[in-house]
Amino acid sequence: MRHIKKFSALLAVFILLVTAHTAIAGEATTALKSTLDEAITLLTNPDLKAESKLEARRVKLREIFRGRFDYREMGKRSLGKHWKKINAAERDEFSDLFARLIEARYITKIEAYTDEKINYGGERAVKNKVQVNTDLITKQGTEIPINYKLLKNKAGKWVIYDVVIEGIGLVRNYRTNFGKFLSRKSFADLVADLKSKV
Amino acid sequence: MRLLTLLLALSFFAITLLAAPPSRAADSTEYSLSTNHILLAATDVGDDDSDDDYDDDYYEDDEFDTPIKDIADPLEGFNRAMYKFNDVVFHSVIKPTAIGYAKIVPEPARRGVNRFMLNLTTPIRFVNSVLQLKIKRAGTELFRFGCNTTVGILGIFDPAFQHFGVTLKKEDTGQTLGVYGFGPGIYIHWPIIGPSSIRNTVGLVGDFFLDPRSYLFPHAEGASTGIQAYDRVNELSLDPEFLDELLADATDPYEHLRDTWHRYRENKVAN
Repeated sequence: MRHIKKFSALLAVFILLVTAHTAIAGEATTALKSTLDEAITLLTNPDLKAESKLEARRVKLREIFRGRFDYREMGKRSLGKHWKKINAAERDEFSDLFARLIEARYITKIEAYTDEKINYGGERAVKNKVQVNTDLITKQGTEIPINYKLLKNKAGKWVIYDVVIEGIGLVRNYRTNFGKFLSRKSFADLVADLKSKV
Repeated sequence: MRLLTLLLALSFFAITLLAAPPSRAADSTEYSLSTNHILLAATDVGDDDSDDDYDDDYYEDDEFDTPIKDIADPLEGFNRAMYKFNDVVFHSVIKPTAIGYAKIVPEPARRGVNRFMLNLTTPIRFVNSVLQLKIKRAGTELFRFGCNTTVGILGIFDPAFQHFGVTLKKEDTGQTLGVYGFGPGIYIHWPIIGPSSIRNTVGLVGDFFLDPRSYLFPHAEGASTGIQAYDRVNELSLDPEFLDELLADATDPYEHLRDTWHRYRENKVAN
């Protein structure tokens, strides 16, 4: 009898753990999906496809992504150990430039969206972070694996801090390139370089 | 003779992209990069003053990253010279050719050519799927080939995807060798062909023998390579900015291309 009690207690704990785990994991996918769906709705809205509406649509698109992509966290991770060496004002300036760089690089790609499909695959949760795996199915029927890494920020919101396309991580890429840049030049040079690009 | 040389030259260009990273299927739309941007206004990301929110190991790879060892590059001197050469050839000949071609041939036609070529090269993907014991993938390739060759008129159209949602996944001999445990060996930046490794170079030879186009003209070797070259230019025409976009923020484009290519290939082997 005691064994059964013990067993059921263990079982209860186990079930609690498992459900708690999946609840957290599900949250990240839901968060990601809501943002991507919002963007898709915007991009497929025929009323916004006119030439005259494109700029307004682009502004709205940036807003949607800024609500889910934590560009500051992305930029911080991309600077890596160099982040520690710069002051608050420099961090702000860098974060702003980095956000604009990412937007400049990706916004036209995203605007080219028409009727691609996104398949949501599995999730991997490690500590306080979750990676959501997706496949982008292009119009041509090619699968592009895109994995989003999310974490819960202080406000309790799931935000994206890295994107991995076909095994190539955005943060890792920039960390390598910024690292190389800063081994030869100063942080001020990096800021100037970013300014010339956005 | 001159034609043959031209075809041969073109064929080399062609292969440049064979070894190049992901063939993104993004539309080759013209875009004007607007530097306009909204202010950080009203974002609800909730990042407040503190930057110590998630102060774990943010300056290293995180738990989700597969550790991939950098590829050895003992031939860096040679490779860098070849990279410079390819860079010039790509920007002065190959890319302008692809862009000029895109102006003459409308996009739907170029997509048709691309699908036709992909259908024709099914053996590369089928055999390598089998060798990697990806049986479901191999079956998918057979289905796609049967369906697209008939209903899709020799592969010009893709009813297998359009009506049945069956997608295509590139598998090649270099990948198969990787699955069988062969490491990449050293990095080689081939003239015209571009980023490669020992393993991938051997893989290209395997792909060549699995490519039906290699056998089409037994008496004119140049013709087959010419077709393969044309295929590559056609593919590039669908996304001519790909390489430049990839290297846009690179501090050292040579290293960036090498490392990105290597990681991309290792990822392909693992999946």
